[in-house]
Amino acid sequence: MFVKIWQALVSGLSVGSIYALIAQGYYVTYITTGALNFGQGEFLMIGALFGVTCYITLGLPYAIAVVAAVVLLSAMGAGLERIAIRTTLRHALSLSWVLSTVAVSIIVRNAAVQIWGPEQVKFPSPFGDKVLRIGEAGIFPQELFIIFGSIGTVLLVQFFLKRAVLGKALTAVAYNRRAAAVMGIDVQRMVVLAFVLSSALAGLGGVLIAPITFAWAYMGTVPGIKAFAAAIIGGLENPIGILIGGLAVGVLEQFFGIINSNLKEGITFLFVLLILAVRPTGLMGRKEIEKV
Amino acid sequence: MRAKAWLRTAAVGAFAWFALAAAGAALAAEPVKIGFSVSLTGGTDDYGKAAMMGFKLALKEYNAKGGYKGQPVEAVIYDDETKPAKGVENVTRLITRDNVIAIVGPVNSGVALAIIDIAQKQQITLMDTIATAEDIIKRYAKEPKNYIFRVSLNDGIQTSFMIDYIQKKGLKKIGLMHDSTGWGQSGRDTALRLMKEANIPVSAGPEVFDQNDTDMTPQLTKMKEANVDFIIAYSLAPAGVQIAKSMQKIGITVPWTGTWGLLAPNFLRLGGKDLTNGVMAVTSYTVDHSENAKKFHAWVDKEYAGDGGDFWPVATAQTYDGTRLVLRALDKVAPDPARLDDRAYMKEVRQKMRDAVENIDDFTTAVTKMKPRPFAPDNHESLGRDSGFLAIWRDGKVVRAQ
Repeated sequence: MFVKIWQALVSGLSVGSIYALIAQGYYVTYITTGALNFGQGEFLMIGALFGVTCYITLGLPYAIAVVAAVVLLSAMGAGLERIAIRTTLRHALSLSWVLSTVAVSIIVRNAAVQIWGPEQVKFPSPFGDKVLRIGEAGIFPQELFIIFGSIGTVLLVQFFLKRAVLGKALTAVAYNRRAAAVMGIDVQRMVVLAFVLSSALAGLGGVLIAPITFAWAYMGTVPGIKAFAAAIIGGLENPIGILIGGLAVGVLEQFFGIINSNLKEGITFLFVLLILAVRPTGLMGRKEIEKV
Repeated sequence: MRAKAWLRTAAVGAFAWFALAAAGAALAAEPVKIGFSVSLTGGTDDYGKAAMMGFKLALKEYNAKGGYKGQPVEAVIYDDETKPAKGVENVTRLITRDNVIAIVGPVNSGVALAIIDIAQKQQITLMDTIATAEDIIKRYAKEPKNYIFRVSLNDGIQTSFMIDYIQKKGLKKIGLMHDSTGWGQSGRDTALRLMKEANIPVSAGPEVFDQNDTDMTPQLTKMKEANVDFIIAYSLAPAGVQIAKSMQKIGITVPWTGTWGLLAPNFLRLGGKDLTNGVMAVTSYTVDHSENAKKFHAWVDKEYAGDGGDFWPVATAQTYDGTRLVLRALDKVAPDPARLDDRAYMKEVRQKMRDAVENIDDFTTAVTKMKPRPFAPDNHESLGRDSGFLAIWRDGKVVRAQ
């Protein structure tokens, strides 16, 4: 029994850390603009497939493939902001960004089918296929790399937002848009930066998980949705909550898989409903106080 | 005077034009057409692409021998994108607009279950050469005339080969798992039914997994704890690779089998030689099981050398045989090509096509393991209990399991 739980924990952490990484992208744009990219999953897919092109087709080192995917996705993030966000956020109450980001995600997915085809492509792990043993549980080196890579990146982003000048400017816009503008911060540029950062995280997620999931045009939808669930569970405005939410979703799925595999897929969303009913701002979100 | 001359020229010209057009129509009587609707994109596109090679080769061979009454038979090819709704649209179009005499396809069981109703209702032969759901043939088996035929091993027959293997080897503890698609669930039901009939208990499972799952350790840990000595898994190739990987993770090394989906080329492509080693699957066909098969395999390799050769031999061979059965029926029915535009006549031709397919009794050149009389009024499954066996992956090649 102990082995079973230990294995579920290890496996769950590796799946969950990816959710946490993608969900961090939701957080960055949500706090700055109140909008999110519902195509995060598709952006992740582009990262994975572009990684394949660099790493396998062109034979570049894995590190270069990671950087290339992050750069490409950063550019796509800037483009997304220009096309799908800026035009729709003119009105404060506008919700059309929901539709426009979903539309972009559909376009991106169909384009990917045209470019890379509809089939799964193998992305051999640069760390090999030999199973490592942590106690009795088995884990692939790539999965270990995913856990450390994602959690490290999430912490790095936090450090950037809290310590770097550019990051502080972004945080200022998130805190109070108007005051930030008065202080001489170019709000528009910060919004672009938020989307660049968010998309770059998705791209990174793509090259990280491709060796485990294979790379293909339809790989992004499920992680995109699960990551969103993780963000809701953890609290959209709390980065640490999101990290924990992501890991929790991954581990929860594996645990319920042990109890009954029929529960594995549905449990996350059941949990989301529960959280929304009890604590609408998420487990670690600030409690909203309504003054009448 | 000038105007009159002009008028005369115009009249002569018009007459000549009409005459030519009429002559042209008489000469180029409408070619006989066969419909082909499979998945060329989407989940089961490997099957569709391989099937198309078999379909085209059958037509090419037929047309090279003079075609139908000196005219080449034409193919109308559509992609159903592995979507049932698109399959329905394709088949409707093939019947009503393209005026085909019979249809070969589809490859996906979900699509097939959606389109057989139309084929049956519109009374047109549907030759399924890939899809394996039992209900495809069963649904209309009790009707006086079933328009659906199959050149493929159905799920029930595939599973019975697994049971044979279990009994032969005296295996006692069996684990069962399946993906959550409709196909996976019907596979589970079939396995449970057949295992019960054979008095073999299920020691672990049935466990379900999503076809995009990347970690199957929770399901497999239960198999490990139950000490199973054999696992049956209804899984397509990508999830099959994940099963093999998760087995490595938790260190479980029992033999396991799937249906023929695990022989698909992407199983080897995604899994590699080491991971696929020892995985079993049911098949009815190997490229060297007969002289006909050997010759056919070499031909496919040569014709499609640029496109990966005979990359999915079972799918190509079954479709080749299925298409040839339809063409043979065409020769027996021998319709008048000039009258195919006439709806009532076409209806009659399609009905006769079905009867002809059912009554073919001289098909001795099959590349699959098919009898000279593949079908009968009470049997529309051309491949049965005597056509299949368990095959096993060894160093990237499929060989017969001992």
